[in-house]
Amino acid sequence: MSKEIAGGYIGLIGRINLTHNRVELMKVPHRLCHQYIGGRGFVAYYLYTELKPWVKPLSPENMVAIFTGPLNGTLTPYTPKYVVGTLSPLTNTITRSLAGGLWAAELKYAGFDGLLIEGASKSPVYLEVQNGKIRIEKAEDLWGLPNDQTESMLISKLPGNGWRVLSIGPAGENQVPYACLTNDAGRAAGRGGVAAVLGNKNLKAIAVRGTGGIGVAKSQGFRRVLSEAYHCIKKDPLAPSRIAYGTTGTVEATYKLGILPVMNYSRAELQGIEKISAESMRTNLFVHDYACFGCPLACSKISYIRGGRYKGTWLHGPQFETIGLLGANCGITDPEIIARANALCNQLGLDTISTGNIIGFAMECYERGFLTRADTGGLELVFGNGDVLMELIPLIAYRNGLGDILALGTTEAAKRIGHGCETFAMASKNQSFASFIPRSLVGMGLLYATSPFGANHSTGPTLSGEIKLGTTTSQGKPELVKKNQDSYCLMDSMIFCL
Amino acid sequence: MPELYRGSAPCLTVVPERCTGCQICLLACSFEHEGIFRPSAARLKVAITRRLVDGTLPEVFDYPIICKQCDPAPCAEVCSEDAISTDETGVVRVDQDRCIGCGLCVPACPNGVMEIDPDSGRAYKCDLCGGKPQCAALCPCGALLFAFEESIP
Repeated sequence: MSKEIAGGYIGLIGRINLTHNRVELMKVPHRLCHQYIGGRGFVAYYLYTELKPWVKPLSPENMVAIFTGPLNGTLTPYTPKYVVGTLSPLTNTITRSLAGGLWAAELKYAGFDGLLIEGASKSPVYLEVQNGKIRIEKAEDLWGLPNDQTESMLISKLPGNGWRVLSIGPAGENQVPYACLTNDAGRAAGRGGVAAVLGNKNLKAIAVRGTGGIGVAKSQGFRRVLSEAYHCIKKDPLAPSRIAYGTTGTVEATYKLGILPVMNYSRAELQGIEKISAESMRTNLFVHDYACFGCPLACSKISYIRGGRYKGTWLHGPQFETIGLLGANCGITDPEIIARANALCNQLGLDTISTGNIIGFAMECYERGFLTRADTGGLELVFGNGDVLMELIPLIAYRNGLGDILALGTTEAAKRIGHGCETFAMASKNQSFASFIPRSLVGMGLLYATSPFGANHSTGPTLSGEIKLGTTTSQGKPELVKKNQDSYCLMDSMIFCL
Repeated sequence: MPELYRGSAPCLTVVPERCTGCQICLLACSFEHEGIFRPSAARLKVAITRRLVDGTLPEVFDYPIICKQCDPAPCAEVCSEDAISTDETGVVRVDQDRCIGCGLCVPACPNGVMEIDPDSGRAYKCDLCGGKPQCAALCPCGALLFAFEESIP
């Protein structure tokens, strides 16, 4: 047990108690590395051993665990992400979410494998993590700011450069249960509402900066495996299109199979779908292909709206899920409207998947007469009306008017609206479906139903496996779903992306 | 247009518009020289921009900044100990035995890629990995190339 950890890990965890304004540095137990690997494994270990069964998600007794894995920041391909977990205010189960960007590796260079955040501060604070030290600082001036401004303000006020910032937006501050964490100007740990828990704790941001390094136990062997891996990646025939289009290539693939949700999952055909194809998104919006830290596959996009009403809007994305939910699912095929809505979600800190799902749901309620103009505050909430997205998204983030009901999550909002509209509320455990219709992607339906995080596609994506088996058959799907959920548990613990 | 840097042919070259900001070059460099993954100890830097700058699109979002192996080398010119010199292959080197860590060369470097090692207290810089620069070997997007000038695509 006293053996030192030889490589990959930093060996230190920061435990921050915001109630008592106290920071404790703990060694990573050697046993933990062997049994739980890192990332999601560590998150699960700490949440299951430390959270009492009676704890409520939005209370100081809840805890947020953020962990990197042994491979982050080591040149291993596809390992830029961190895992964050908590007792979710959306599903009331333990949830986990991942995000790429630059933050995770920087946390390790700053001397930590992970952070455990407990208690709640009386007033807004942020954490400053640098080279083995953690400081809790006042954040009154940051409270209320969108993610973009929070990041730039922190970077300008902190000494030196190279700071990487993770923050919550107004939606997290207002404890919307599907508020997302945002880092590096637009990467999001989207699902499960982790930001709402940090909002409850009054923690606005975590800035990290480090000049440390990560060692490797067996350098020569590691070097050899790396060179094989990079060699294979260079020869991968799919890599160029993945870099050119990012995840947006999936839009056409899923639409052709009748999997892409259209108008609250009620149909699978949409006029003008070609306008939101990967090619169209690339031509109209993308200005830069960038990579997360240490990743050879630059699938991330920076988009910029060059003209029209939303001229000058910039954002990270839109990705496949966002195009599906804020676009097709709301009956919208205008790339600029989707991009603008995505930018709003990024700034306010809302999960684009849940937000698009619930707006699609509200549109169906309105078209069926379960929501009236009086309920919507005069908004013409019909499918295809992009203008209402720009109105509704801030209403949800600030919990005003109809937004306060929609901020409950799809299932809970349906209960509140009544009229039996739960029948078309597309969610499991109050976690809204992702951009795959379970009717035509049967295994995904089983995943939505059985995932401990609710309808979270990333628990073990089934698309490629189901295409081989036939998307509409149930043959072989239980085995596939189980296998994927298990293997993603391993992937999330080593923290591999894909 | 690729910006060409002097050096013995072949030379290390940057094509800024191809850079994706992955920083694999920093990891490759520090692993080669230090045996660990430590971007802050890399002999080159990567400028990262992930947003608009003053409301407008930057000309390039991400780009590597490398040692140009200048001739004459400003770092060598300010060195009071004559610890920095250019070898027969055109690589500007720091003699670790002569260096006293005064740090004069750091601000003298026009690219900001001269550093003082906090542990040894000596200056260190890019040495082109003895003719096989690892940054270019692993760069996945062709933003860093080690090639003969005329062969650069």
